[in-house]
Amino acid sequence: MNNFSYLIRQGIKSVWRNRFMSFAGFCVLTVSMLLVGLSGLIMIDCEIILQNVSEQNEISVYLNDDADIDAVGEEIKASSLTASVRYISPEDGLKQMVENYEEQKVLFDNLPYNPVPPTYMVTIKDLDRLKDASASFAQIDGVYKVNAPMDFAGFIRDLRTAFTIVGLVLIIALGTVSVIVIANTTRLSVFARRKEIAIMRVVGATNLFVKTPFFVEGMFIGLISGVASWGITKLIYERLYEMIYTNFREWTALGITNILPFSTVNWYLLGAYCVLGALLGAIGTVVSTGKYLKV
Amino acid sequence: MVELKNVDVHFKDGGGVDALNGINIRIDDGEFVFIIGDSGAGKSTLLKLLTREILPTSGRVFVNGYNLAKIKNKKIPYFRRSIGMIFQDFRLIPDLNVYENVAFVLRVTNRPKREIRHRVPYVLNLVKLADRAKMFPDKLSGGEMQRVAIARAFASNPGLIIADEPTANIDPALSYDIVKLLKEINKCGTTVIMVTHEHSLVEYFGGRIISLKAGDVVFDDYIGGTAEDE
Repeated sequence: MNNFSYLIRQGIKSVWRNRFMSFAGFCVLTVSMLLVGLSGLIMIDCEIILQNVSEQNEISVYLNDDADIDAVGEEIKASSLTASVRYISPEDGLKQMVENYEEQKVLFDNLPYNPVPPTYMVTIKDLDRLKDASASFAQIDGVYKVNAPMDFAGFIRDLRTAFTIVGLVLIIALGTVSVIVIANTTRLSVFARRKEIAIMRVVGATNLFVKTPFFVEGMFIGLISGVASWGITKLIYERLYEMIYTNFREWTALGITNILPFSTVNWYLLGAYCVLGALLGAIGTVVSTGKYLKV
Repeated sequence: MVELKNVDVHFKDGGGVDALNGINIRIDDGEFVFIIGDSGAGKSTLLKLLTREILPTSGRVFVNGYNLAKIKNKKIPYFRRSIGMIFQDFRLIPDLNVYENVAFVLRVTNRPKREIRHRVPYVLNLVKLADRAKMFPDKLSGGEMQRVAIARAFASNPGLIIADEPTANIDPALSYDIVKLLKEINKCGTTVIMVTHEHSLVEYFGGRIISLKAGDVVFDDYIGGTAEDE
């Protein structure tokens, strides 16, 4: 098409001609995509953490110092919920703790006594029955405390559900708002160019020729919004990542610091934002040109 | 060629109006025809039929080889490229200069850039506006704007030019120049249909006159113009 560049220019000129509406469209699209994108990333992070927690479906069963270690071990092994049992003596437990907290090694140098109790690490068969297993092991004579990651797993699961719901609501609600705003921008654009369009019709312009600049306009706003959303997401997520990494290092065992670094999704996210923005822009244009442009 | 056979146009709005009543008109290639008539005579309806803005209630309309009653919607733009339209309100695009207004038609019809570069100066020269090429419509007089509109209509070298009261909004003295310009274009072989209210123009130039009254063709013949006597 000889005039393709002409049509592209016309579309981009329209963005400037209707700059206030274009700006409104840009803002709504950017905020919508930003919220959707951040929700998506948090959903992925929740999934990663859940995966980590699932992989570590071990319950720590701490015993009293005077407990009959073998008897307790036999009773745990006999449970139908138990998959495997591993005994960690107080000495090995302390050694492992020192390894885990190597940077604070000095704290363990002059301990008056070994604070780590005899412990059984129990892997259970079904993560969904974590709570039952935990309650059952706590009943065994000689057990001092049972530690299961169930509260944390439940919290992460709830968080993931919340972000899934919020994400979906945002996608539907803000997506609709974005389409309406873009449709209005296009409508104003059609109105501003009504004389030109009337002349186009009279001189024999095809539907494609008349509609292409409006598509370009919608998609251009969408693309710019996509780039802006990506930039803001990068800014927010990288700060968030840094904050989590710095403040929750001791939660390494639960996989919280395994969350997605932005660099791994950087370009995918930019692509996704641009495609989503252009798509929303195009849908808004289709709605508007279909309704207001009877060529 | 333009041919209307037993064309009726009936509008249902406003309690029903018979805009055209079984009219028959044939205009051959290369003719220059004035269409006259009072308000409500059916002139605008006739023009809308010829540009396929409306369909006849009954009868057949042929323009430049297209049967307008049967033409498919996607073919309409291609049909419209075979005609040039001139309006009484000029309909120039205000934010395009004279050159761009004329080039616009060629761009819309996807003509090559090289053709645009050759054709636009040629038609601007023809309407004697070559020196106004870079000016915007708001800086032109009514007569000049209409000459730009004529250049635009002629730019794509259509077989038929339809002028809807092209002299209605310009200085009466300049009206003659506009018609002379259309006559010049007609001499190049382009059929020209000009709708007008101005009987003085028709009497001056003469030629084929079609007169409409209340939806009927009441006169269709040739008259001698006073211009021929000069």
